[in-house]
Amino acid sequence: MSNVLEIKNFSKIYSENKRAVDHLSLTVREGEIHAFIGHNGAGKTTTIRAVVGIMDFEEGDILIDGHSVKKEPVTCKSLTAYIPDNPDLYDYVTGIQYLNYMCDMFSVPAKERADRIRTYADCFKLTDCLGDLVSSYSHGMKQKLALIGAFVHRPKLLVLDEPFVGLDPEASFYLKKIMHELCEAKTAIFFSTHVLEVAEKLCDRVSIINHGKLITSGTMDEIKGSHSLEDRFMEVIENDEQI
Amino acid sequence: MMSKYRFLLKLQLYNLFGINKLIHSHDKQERQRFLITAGLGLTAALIFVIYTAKFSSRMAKAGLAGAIPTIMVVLCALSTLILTFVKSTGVLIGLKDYDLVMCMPVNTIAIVASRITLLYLINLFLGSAAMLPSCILYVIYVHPPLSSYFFLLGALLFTPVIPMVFSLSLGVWIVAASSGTKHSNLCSLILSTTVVLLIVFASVKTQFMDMTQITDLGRALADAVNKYYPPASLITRALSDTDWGSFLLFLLISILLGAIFTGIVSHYYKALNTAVFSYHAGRKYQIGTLKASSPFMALYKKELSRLTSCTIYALNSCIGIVLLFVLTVIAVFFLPPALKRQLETQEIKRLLANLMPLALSLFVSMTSTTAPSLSLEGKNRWIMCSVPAPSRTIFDAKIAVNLTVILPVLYVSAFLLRIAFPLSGIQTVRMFLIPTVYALFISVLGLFLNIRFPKYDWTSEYYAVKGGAVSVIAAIMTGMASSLIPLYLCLVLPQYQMGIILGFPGFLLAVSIVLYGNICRTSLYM
Repeated sequence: MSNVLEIKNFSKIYSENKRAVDHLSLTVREGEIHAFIGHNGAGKTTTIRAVVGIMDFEEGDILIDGHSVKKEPVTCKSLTAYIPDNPDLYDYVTGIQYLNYMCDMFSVPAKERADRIRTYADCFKLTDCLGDLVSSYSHGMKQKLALIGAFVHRPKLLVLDEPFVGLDPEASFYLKKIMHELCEAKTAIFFSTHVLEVAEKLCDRVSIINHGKLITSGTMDEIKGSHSLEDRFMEVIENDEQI
Repeated sequence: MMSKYRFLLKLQLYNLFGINKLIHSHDKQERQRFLITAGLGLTAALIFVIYTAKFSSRMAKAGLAGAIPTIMVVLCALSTLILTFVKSTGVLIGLKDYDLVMCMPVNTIAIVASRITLLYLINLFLGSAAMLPSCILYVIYVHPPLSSYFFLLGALLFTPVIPMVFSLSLGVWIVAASSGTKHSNLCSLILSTTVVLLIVFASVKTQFMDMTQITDLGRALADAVNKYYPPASLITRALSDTDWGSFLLFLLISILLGAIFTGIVSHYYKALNTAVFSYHAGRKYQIGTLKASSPFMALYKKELSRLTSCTIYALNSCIGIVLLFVLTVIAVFFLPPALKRQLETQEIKRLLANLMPLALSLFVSMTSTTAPSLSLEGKNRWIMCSVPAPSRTIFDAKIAVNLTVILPVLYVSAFLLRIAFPLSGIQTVRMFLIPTVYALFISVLGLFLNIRFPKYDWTSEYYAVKGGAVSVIAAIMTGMASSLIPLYLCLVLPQYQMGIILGFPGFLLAVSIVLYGNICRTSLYM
């Protein structure tokens, strides 16, 4: 399996003294679901933002399917789908206009758009509301719309920041199902979460970050062993704090 | 209730003028932005103060010192009327922190009163700039009795109340009337533009007063104001006859109107906000065939939707070009015969033909949808930054929208003017070409400034478009200066007129190319 995402020695320095992320390296392979966990302020969102090319960084490099985020940002973005932790969408367009806009931006063939949108919108029970303005949507509906906008262009790398926050149980179920389907189609998924039970059940690999440094990374079995992921996470973090 | 009102007001004051950010932010750029905004704001206030002081001084020298307070009350009332109207929808109703504030254990009346007080304080600040220098001149020239100082202070403090209530009522009515429709923003935009145009039409009409009125402008204005704006006549009577009754009546009317308005809005506050935040529920949507566009066209269509969806954005950015069209129609179809005869003299004809391109450019250079366009992305900017389109395409779409707003109206106006005023072939070409250069310049300049001074952390679009938006103020001021300076130079240096008329646009074209090159090299990040 080839690497879809390679983070090499990535550092983000906000001021001279503060390194939000410090020499972080990790890889995500095709067809893999990779959880990225850590405390609030550990550097997860900073890393994710650098991966999707919306934040500049000083040291290291990030490759998506072999292309450098720094040197070929547009190519990298065309291979990636990103959902932030709080997806604020354009309030002044309708749901279908937003999705068609995403299709235009990611050059989804005109003939395939309607079918792809219908598949995912039916799944999330959003089809009936696609003609309404986004401003009328609830938080959960906006989250679903953002997810459809991400899935619709069949990305090679899917990057999600806290994707399960605000979703109803049914939508969470379908999100997990779609994530598995995308993995079968060789999409790599890299996502941050605080819900460790979900990460434990869903992911093939996990990386733990603390104070901007990668503490450990490996397959789920390697990391948690015979413990639960929550116990292992607490243990790893406490050990790191003592050092 | 009073303590909670004070807390609410204090929280709003933290956001006002960005003072809290200046104190607590460690971001150098943030502090720099604040200082630039403060500098620009103070310069504008200073210009306003100098202008009103000069006007009052001339009136006093012409023996009309007694009419100064009346005129100043009207000036203050008019500025409050227009500024409050433009701000009313974004400051009182439909605010993003509505849920947060309304779920607190506070009376609605305290919430509404705190919002109105904030508006009042802004208007008081602007009103003082209009009234304070004139009050000082009035005292110097008239030597009024001690009671007049009290009357002047009362006028200063209470003059903004009545026009503010009037404007807010109009704004709230527009929100209420348009909230039932799906295209409420469009309705609001049309109604708001109509009101602004009515104000412009009224002021243009006063420009065409006959000579006797013009020579006795001060007295005529004072008389008219006292007749049509009773609060001003109450202040005039209080000052001229030391009439405490009129003064107390003025205070009573102001306080009562303010209190009644606050009470009524508080009563309907929930209903009004619910109407604004609720939506037009459509029928069950059926996905049909979807039309594909290029990334540029998709971005362009999105930018156009943004413009038409936000009343304050459209009104603030496009009013220059709307004014051009309205004034063109007035000049072509409704020009008073006396003025028409004056324009037919050979010298004026020649001057008009030469200066018309720059006059058109003045209105063009007031029109910049690009100056707040990046700021307006606000919390949505993750989409703009993460889509696979080069920054240049995103910027081109924003520039294209400004050109779409300007060029069709500009060309129609130029065409109408060409029919009304005979011009040679080369003069006609200049009339179309020079404003086009200005359109390019203001579009590129606005975007360039917004890239340098973005304001993403707004709670209401008003703060991205108006309240302290450095890019907007700087773009409009630079744009207007770029057309007013050559206009002035043409009048004072007529021997170099042609050089100025062609040289300035040539220089601006070169500047536009340099700025555009700089824009194209900019990467977009969060």
